[in-house]
Amino acid sequence: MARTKRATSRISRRTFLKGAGVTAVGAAAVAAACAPTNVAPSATTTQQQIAPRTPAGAGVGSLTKLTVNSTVIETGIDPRWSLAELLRDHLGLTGTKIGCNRSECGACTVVVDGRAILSCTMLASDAAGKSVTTVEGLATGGKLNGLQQAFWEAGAAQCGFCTPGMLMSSTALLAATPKPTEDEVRRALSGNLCRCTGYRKIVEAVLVASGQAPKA
Amino acid sequence: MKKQIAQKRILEMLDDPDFQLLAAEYPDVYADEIDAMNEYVRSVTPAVPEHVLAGMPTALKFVGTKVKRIEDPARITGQAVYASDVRLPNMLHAAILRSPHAHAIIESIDTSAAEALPGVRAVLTYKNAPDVKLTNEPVKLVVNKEAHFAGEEIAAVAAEDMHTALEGVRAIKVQWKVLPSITDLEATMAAGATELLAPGKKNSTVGNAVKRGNFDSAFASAAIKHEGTFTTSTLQHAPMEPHATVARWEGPDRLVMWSSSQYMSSLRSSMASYFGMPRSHVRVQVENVGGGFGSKGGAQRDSYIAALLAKMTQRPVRVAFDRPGNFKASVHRYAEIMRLKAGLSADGTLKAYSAATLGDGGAYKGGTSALPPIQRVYSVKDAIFQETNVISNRGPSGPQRCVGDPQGTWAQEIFFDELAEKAGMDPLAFRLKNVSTMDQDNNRKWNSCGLVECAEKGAAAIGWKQKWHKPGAKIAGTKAHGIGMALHACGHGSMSLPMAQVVRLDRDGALDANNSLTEIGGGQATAMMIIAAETVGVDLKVASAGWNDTSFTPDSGVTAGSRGTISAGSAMLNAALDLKAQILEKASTMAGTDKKLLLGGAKPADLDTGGGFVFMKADASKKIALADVATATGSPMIGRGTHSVPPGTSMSTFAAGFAEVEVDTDTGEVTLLRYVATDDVGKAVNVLGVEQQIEGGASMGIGMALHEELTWDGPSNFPVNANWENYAMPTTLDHPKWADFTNVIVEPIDAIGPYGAKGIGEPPTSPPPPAIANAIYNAIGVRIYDAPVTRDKILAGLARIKRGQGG
Repeated sequence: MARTKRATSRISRRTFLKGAGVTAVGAAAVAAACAPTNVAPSATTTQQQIAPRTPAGAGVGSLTKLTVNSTVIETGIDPRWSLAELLRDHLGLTGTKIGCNRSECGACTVVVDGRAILSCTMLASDAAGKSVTTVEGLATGGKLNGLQQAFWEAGAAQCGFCTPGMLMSSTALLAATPKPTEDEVRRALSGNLCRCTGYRKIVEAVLVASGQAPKA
Repeated sequence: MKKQIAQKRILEMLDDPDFQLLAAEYPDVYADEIDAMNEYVRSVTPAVPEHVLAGMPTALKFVGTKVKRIEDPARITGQAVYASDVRLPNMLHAAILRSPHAHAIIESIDTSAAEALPGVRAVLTYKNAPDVKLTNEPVKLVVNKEAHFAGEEIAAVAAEDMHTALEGVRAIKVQWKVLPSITDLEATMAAGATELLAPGKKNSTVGNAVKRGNFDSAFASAAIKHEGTFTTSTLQHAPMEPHATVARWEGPDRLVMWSSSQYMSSLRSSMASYFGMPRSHVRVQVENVGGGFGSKGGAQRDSYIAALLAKMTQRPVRVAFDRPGNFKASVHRYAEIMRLKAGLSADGTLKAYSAATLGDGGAYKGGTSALPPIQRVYSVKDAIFQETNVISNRGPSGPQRCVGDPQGTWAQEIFFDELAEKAGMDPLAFRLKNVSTMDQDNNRKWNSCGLVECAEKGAAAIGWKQKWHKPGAKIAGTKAHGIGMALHACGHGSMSLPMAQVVRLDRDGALDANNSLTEIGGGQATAMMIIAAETVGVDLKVASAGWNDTSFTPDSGVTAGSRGTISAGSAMLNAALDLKAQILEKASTMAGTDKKLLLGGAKPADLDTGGGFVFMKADASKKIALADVATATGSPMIGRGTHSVPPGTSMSTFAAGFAEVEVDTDTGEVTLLRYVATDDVGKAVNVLGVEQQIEGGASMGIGMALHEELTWDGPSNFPVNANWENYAMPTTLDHPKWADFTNVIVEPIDAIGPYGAKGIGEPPTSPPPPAIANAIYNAIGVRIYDAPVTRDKILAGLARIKRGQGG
């Protein structure tokens, strides 16, 4: 879905985001996870009724089982939680970043059942029974994996905030396409924004991790 | 005319991190203040003794190589903690209410429904926020009663979780009185409506003014005359991490903060002064920042709001802007209108040059600075340059990877392409004929200048001679090929504020170059570590450089203005030299006192360090481990260093950019085939870091050239694309391929910087926009004066050509 579709054309990021990114999750997620704080009520539009209720996270929701970084987890999930929220706020896995909370930047990318998914707009409850890998799940025994090592050596991380998403999109790419061309790498990462690097060293790192030197 | 500054004021400036931040970002505006601070510090600081200077390594082991960054392992494993990741026990989450109007005043605000929500713990409005001015024009508080731009912070709600905080924000009822808003800079200036903000207060400020010789008479007698108007759009920094702060009070007068600030020491002093506490009672931790680019200097409103809500609730509070909030309320690169005028002699020599710039300072006084490249790149005796800054009701402006230099270079380099054509010359040859290597406004040579080398090496790398052709001369079917270039001189990366650093050798021989130079992505910690390790003579594997806590590090300055490596790095170099002198001194006294020590009777001057040892210069096999020297002193050894620039020094950074494009004449689509960046960096401390800065800076320039524009709705002055979906930041697909996106590092060793280094954070951003616009002109003969160069502008230009109206 998301990643392959967005990877098909040059303008895919912006057009795609309006459609697939949201439909993948459903309108409820948009309301819950992306409720904008910037919508200021005007003078005449603030008459809405707010029903008092229990704050979120206080044991609401049904018990859900999912696998996160090879560990089976059973947890109560508030129906409003996004997967990113579950990971960051309730499982302590803050390696997954929130850049926009609305499927625009890719910083929250995780791998769910082998596919790169934007966790900011996937409902946590939709991850039930699925296997989620986050950036914390890449290194084993304190040892960087090949992709991480390539990122370090190429200098693919600068501020590092997009890096977890870049790593997870690359992980999904390399699992599906072990020897991608440069164009395939660029397309697979076209939904992951980076403001620091100009992407050159990121593309280089992914190629090197796949056992290829970037073509001069 | 040099400003005379009283010593009392100099001391105030030196002690004011907020001023240091301003000076770092606007070095040309505050040149006299920077000189005065440097002169004062030099006058009260003992000169570095000869024998200490003699410790300067001659052969370089690490400086100038590619060093893997120490910042990265945490970042690529998800272990790095950013301010927005901090989760404390009992922590509240805050959401912000933003103004829906560009200029309006609150008639009434009702927070009772928000306060009644279960889980809401505090609501902050102008009614309960301390009335302390953050800036003066117009008055800016933490949360104002009067909003001066759409998206301004009006209220904040702290609640047990983010969902409840957001509900709280939605439950606040505001009655607004909408006020007139300033939307059009030129109309505002023309109408003389300069008191829109408050009676008696002008909303325009005059910036730098430069006058050389007599422009009018030189222009009148010029053989070739040309003038033009150039404009740029409002841009957003859009760092990947939005502004975020977590604040925790530890009792009534101790505050601890985690923040995304680019200048942790300034944040500390701002909080101390806001809450009336000693600076030592504020501890700021800035471990990782997800990009800043000038938008996160010092204390931003997220920090004030978090601190106030935490004080009100006596619980930790987290404030993180959402993306639209960040787009609206974080500072912007201001839009600029620039009028240039020049006269050439018949042989193409620049004789007269004038520039008048008008910058949209946005809400709250920001300041513009488009002139440095215009003053510096080309040689001209008769010139007049003037900048003006207007306060408007658009988002606040501020520095963005340079302040106004990219705007100034956009105008100048398209203009000089036109001048070359008028003179009948190749654009490269025309530029080289008129280029300056002098600081013309101080009439002295630059301390170092790699401008010509940048132009020549870049031209060679891209194959300028083989590829440049007459405009529109290489069109096959619908595909037009073009090549363009730009030169640049930058006010940043060269100036240096006084700075102090310490470096520590532990008894196990490990070296700590801890400092508070905030690491926002540039690899500053690695650079400080390299400088310290190279100088003291230890291997990188036993060196480190922490950077994240004001309680344990001195104020190492702001990471802005491309000044980290040069200012903080120079002080670090001096601290390391001081430490090395102590090591040699101690080692010489240890000689012969122990059978293991083989230095028998050596004087400090006979000794050197390297690889973790002190050794005899005459016989390197005679050596003592640094660990033994440190152990013999009984305590860790501490080196201290300060840095200030000698008076009468002129410094500048230089760059050139070369772009090759393909333009589709049917669709107007531009493909950037190749980009070569050449940058004068003085000396690359970490080649990897320099490459990163060049590639990333060029990328931001590519965005400015072809994609990025924050669009304002005319009547409402509301930014309509305040998100990444509609604000088109470049992706992997908008850059040339790996092999075609290259750089050339030019190294004219600069005597001031550490190991000859100059700053590199900002200069690479400026050349791409005009180089790409010039390449588009070369491809299709269409001149675009208004950045970004979007398809509609290209197609309109092609249509003009078709109608015979010129490009």
